[in-house]
Amino acid sequence: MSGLVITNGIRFLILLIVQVLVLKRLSPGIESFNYIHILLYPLFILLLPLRTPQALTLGLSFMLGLMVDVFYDSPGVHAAASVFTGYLRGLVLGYMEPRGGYNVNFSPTKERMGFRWFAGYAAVLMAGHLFFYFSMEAFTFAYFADTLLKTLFSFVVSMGFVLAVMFVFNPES
Amino acid sequence: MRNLLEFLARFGGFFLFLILEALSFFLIVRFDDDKNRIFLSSSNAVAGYMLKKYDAVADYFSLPGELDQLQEENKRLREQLAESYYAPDYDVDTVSLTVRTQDSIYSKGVVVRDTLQKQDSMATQIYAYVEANVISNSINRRNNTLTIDRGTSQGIAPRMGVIGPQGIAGIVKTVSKHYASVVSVLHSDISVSATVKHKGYFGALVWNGPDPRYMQLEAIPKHAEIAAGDTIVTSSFSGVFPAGLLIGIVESVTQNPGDNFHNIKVALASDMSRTGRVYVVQNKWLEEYKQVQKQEEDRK
Repeated sequence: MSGLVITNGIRFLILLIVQVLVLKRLSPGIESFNYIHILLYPLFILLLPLRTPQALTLGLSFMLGLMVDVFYDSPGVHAAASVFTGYLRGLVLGYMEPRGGYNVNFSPTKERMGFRWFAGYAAVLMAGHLFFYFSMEAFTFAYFADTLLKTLFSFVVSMGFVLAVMFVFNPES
Repeated sequence: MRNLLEFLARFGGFFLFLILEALSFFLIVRFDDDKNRIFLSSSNAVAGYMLKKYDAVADYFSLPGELDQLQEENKRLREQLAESYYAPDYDVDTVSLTVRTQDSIYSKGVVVRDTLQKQDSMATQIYAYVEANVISNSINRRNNTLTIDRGTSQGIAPRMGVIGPQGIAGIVKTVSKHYASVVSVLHSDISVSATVKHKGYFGALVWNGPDPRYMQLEAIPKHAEIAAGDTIVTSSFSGVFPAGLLIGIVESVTQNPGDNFHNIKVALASDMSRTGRVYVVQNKWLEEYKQVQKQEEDRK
């Protein structure tokens, strides 16, 4: 139990620091095509243990988003997206439950659930997170086409990062 | 009571979700009018410290580009020095110049140097500059911000202008003791009073995104004769930037039918993706300027 708390606490801090210090400075798009944001921090929400109470998931998501917001100078934007992802996570987990049910003592990692399951799970949540994030950033539906383009291109790159992290570190819990 | 508990167990998560989303929306909407927001901005002490430490490392990779910019700026400033001008009866030696000045022998060429010397005693400085290091920057969002490592203890205050080596960079928004966060020129809230050099038309410079190389000059009426290649500089109206500071070059001018204004696309002189060293502009007359404006408004 305390092991889980420590693992997730460290994951929280590392993902936060990597996001706000390293990834924030990267803008891989070329100048006239500035649509790519790399968001890796939602991985924390994805990898919370399966038995995490929903309220705690939402609370932690909100905190993580708010801290990212501090560094991005955009109070509320990442927080709103993270809370959305935290809520979505419960629904997606419900839909994607394997026939034998989950072993709730673990996190839904690639190692535990298999690559195909994890890729699908991460894709839905990352797409949801990015779409919500860019909608909040524009805070209007006037730039809907822009928002979709940003979501699409950022999704490809961010998913690449999420899967790369899973392959490199391959966490079990 | 039991029903209530069952209800909460079933829908509590959803309500918490709604509450936290509402809180986030509140933060997004309220961002513009709250003095306590320093806590939630990158200028707070902890965030500033971390950004600065990281930037100290990352800086090495951007140094060559920054040095080029600074050298270019030095070249431009050097060309404005009196020594760079030719004056027939004018000796570069300062002592002899001082003697001549005292003897009241003025010639065209000496005027430049003369003005410089007068600055010590007679002219009053309006704008002072505080150098700062950009410790965090972005260009690919709808609302971009810079964080700099200067704060109230170095005399930085909100609404001060920030200029880079090549042109304007932004306006200070929140300030803590040692850090400040700056609204970049690439931000939906930015509006800089600008004018067309030698032509005198003035308008508001805004950024509609997403390309960080261009801004839009608004509110210039259709009858104004503006062409691609015109130089856009800061106007003297805002008091935020010194007048005549280079902003950029007009890239294209188009017209919308049914609109009385030009659509003017301005190519920025600053490369915002490589802005590493900046100067914060302190207007020493700002209070007086504000008072005059206030009087004017009160009269209306």
